[in-house]
Amino acid sequence: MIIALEKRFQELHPEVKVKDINVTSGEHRAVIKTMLLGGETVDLIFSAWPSFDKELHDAGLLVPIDTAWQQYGWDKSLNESWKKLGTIEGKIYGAWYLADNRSGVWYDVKTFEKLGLSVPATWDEFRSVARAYKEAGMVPISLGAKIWAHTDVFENLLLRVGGPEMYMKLAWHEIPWNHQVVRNALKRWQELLTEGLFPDANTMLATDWFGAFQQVIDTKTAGLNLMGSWVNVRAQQEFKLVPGEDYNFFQFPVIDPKLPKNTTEISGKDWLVTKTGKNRDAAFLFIDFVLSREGGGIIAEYGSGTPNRLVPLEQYDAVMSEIVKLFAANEVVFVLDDLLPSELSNEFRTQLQKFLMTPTDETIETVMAAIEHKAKEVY
Amino acid sequence: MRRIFLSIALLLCVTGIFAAGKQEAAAAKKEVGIPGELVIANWLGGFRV
Repeated sequence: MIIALEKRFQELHPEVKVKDINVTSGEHRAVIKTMLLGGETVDLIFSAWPSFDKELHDAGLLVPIDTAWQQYGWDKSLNESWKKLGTIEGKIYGAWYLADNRSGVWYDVKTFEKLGLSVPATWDEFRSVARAYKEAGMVPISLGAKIWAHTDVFENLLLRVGGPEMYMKLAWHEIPWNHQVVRNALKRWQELLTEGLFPDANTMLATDWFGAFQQVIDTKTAGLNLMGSWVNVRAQQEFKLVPGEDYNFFQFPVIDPKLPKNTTEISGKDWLVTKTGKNRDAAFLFIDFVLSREGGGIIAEYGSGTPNRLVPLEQYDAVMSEIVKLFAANEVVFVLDDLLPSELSNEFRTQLQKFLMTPTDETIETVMAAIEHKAKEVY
Repeated sequence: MRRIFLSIALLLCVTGIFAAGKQEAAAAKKEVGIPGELVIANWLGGFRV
């Protein structure tokens, strides 16, 4: 999709020659930061992590885009909350162009219908659906806990037992990691694990996010998978599946009915203009194209979501249009793991893996204490 | 005769507007035309979003 955006931009502006530097290996954040600190000429990068944007800002590697924002009128494309997400210490640095739903649970439509299942709205209904897959001899809920995907399960549980306010408090460490709300979230996960509704720990730790998704829509050995909505692109491009007909999603179920229903965890990607670049004006022009109706349309046609409000709903496919409606109708919170400083994020991921290995009450206590210990060091 | 004269005047007028529009578009293009290389660090390659 980035290539498609670049190609169309190049057609519209033949005077600008777009050159891609492919950053393909290792931990992307570390590679990008090293590249910029090394002084490599790069005009634009994209990021998926607000905490990383801040790290680059603090290292003096980013250029504010407030003037270009005014000049090109990007308020037409992005609302205040997205502008705020791109703002660091009063200046805008990030132009958000992709938005993903991180609270969606994916399933294969034919299997779902064959088992006579209905979309679960509550925790009990969700467990019943998972049990139906188990009884049919399938893995009820697949999970790729090799690197990061297990954190999404915890975060959605946290959102459903604590609500968006507690969720954000934990993100900014305004409540400790050994708070009761964290314990409640882990207890809910423990219920599912002890009932055998997830694969065994070794399998989860050896599986990546894509492998876990594949088990649901390709090999059909698993029933459900919680995953970011970028899989909508993969399902169509890689497996030639029809959104809404071959596969679909439902939002993570309600646990505490007193909390706002369907609060949605989101993630996204934003463009950042770097100080090492030599063609800042072209960088702004490219961002302007991505945030135009045409640029947003290219993103929508790829099966992705964009926060760009110039894109009409009809331009999205059946699945993504439902997701875009969810973004508009519900309170959204950014994915917790991407809000945490890298060091704390690593600890968070590792400790949750330990919990998956031995999901006992004792482990819950040690895991919470370990993350809190690291948080105290980092903040 | 009068009708022919009016038609010619109208044609000249439309041509003039079109030419002026073209000039304006060319000027606008020149104004936003930003030559040079734009380097983008792409960590997703051509496929994943």
